[in-house]
Amino acid sequence: MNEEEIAFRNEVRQFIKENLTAKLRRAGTNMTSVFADYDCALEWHKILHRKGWSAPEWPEEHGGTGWSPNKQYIFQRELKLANAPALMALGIQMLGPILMHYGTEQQKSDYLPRILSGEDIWCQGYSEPGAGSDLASLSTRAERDGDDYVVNGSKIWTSFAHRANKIFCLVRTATEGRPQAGISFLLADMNLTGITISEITGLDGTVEQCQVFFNDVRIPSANLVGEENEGWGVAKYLLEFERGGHNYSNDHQKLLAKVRDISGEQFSNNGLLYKDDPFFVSKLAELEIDALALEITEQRIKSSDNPGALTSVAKLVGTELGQKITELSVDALGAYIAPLQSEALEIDYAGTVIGPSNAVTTSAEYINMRASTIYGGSAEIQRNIIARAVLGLR
Amino acid sequence: MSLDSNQKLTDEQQMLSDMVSKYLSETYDFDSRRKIANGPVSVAPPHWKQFAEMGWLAMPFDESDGGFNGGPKEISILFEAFGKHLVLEPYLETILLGGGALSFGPEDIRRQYLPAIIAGDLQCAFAHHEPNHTAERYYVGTTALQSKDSWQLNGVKSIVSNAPHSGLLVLTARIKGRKHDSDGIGLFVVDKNVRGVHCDDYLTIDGRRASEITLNEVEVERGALLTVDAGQLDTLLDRACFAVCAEAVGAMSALISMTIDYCQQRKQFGQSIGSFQALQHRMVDMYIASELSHSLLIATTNAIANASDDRHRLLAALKFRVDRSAREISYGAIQMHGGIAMTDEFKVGHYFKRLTVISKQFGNANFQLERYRHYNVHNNHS
Repeated sequence: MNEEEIAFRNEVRQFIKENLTAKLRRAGTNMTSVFADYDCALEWHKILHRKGWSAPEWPEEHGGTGWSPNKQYIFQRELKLANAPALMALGIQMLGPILMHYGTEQQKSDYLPRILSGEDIWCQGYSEPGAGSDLASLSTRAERDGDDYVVNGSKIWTSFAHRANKIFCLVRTATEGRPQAGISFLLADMNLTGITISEITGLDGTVEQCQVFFNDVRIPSANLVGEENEGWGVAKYLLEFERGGHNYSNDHQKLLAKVRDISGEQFSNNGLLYKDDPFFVSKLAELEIDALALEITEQRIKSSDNPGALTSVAKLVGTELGQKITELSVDALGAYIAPLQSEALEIDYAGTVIGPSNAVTTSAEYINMRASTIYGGSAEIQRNIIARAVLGLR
Repeated sequence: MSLDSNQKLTDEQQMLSDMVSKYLSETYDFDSRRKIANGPVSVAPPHWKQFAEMGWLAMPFDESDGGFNGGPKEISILFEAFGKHLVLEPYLETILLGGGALSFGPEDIRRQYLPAIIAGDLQCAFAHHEPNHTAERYYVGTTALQSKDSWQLNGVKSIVSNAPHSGLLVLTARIKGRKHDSDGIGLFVVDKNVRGVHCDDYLTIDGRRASEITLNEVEVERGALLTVDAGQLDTLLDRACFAVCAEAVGAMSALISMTIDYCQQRKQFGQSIGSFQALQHRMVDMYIASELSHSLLIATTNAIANASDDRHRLLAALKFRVDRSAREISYGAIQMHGGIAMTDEFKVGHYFKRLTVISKQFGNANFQLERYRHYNVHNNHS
């Protein structure tokens, strides 16, 4: 880091010290997936927005910061290490860049400021029960009727649809030609007549995912992003942001810190603390080396104008390494993987915790981490992309 | 080593196997199980009395104690089926650990408790783990002090499975020596309702119930000490370890069948996803991992049945292999099912959670590696 970057880091730290309340910090600490407590995430979003820091990577003309990639990286890392809760990311990281690229002036001025301020929280209607990895086979229909589209069908794995007020979705507007050819990109209010939501309880006992049903939902045609039947190109642009927009190495630093914490509290089968157990520390070092290599890869992506396929590498390595680190956490956690302590993850929980201080989050995190190689383009899809786009294999 | 002759089931074993499969297939549906698993803590899994009526609870006990003299083969038949059907009933805690420990006790103790246990009227929990030391087999900081005609117990026990529904606790407490010593550990039977026993109850991720237990000046009579023989403690823990390995083998085979079925039905890109070579190879690897575990289970079953010198080494190899296979198979099953496997409504994730808990019970992978090396050296020199 140069002097300017050090000064910047100190400024960020000072801001965090003054604004990240104990409650918000707890929301960050208690995260067991990519989502934090919803209300805390919104509260933190608004605090960051007042400072002008809610979407640092956006261009300055839309309310971003104009920071260098290094500064953005420093910013994200400081937030993560301070246990700031993650923001609801879909508006800032995905829809924002899409609207800047494909949106009409009206759409930009309607939506971008409200994404920035946190007034609108967006969820993503992509996957369907019959269209997962094969996203282009989606069948939710949108038929033009006057100035509206009439939408029928259902979307699944829609994160936080039960809390978000807006949804962007891919719908089928034509059935001729390649499946990719008849897809359009639509924006909608979640309170429209005909939209119903069914919550899905996850393996950790909490609700993050939903299925969203559309029954004759009328969406104004002004909410079409890009051209009709050209939504696939919009989605592909967006998927690149979904994969490349996230710094996995920041997550890994936090996960590795957790392994170290647990290894200083729990004893190995040989009677040594895990942190003094040569077998364990050498496994930890192996993972740290992978984390370092990924961190540098992510910096390469950040400083590249055209990240391309390296984003798939980062997504793949980032998620699979996250799984390996939580697996090592669980090795140290031992039998304390078992207690189900969902209530201890609530923000106002004041009771005791069974096992080491990190047991509550580690157990749920290990389970939830299995989803990370499924969502946002599964590990298999990422490998296909790398094989075709990078290695040129057909 | 010839396995064929030993793999054949006797008529009685075949009957047991058929009966267990039939009963669980017909009655142990996943939705009912899920309701129990999700709590509240006070609700117990409902099949226990039927298990008793079918004679399963008597299986491992000596005939003189009202049992059927069942050996490792019978245990593995039961537990493979329990694993396949994700059975929540506390056979491990009540019969193998609690009942097993009581079998080491004097006749009056056995007469007092075993009939009620075998009848399904009394449940047990085995309180051994202590805070922060759950990976160590012999770590016991709980103390037992002897006075004229009683023992006083003091200490803390962690993650005591089935304690919320148990009338009896079988617990380890140190009579002499230092906290890590294998010698000097007493196995005590304690009525859970006596003064000084405090339990905090909770659910576990695999749908069971457990407690954190504090023992504060708990007074028990002299006869409450079942044994101080370190060999008997090992026997007890090894039998439990063997049982959960069999359970894991059952769970893994269920996961593999479900994954194969799903991949054949699920269509993406205009074809069943099971037609993709990358997924086929992953399923093949899962199958291989399962078969390797199965092989070691068969060999260990025979070694225990024949009291072979090699049984300790084989058991360590089995548990280690089960741990590795369980991970590979759970991860693969979830990945190939996709999002649905991450939901509470779907069975796959529940196998994963149960297998994860098993992998940390009765010796984690490193413990098994060390034990394997220990017995390997031992066997090579003999």
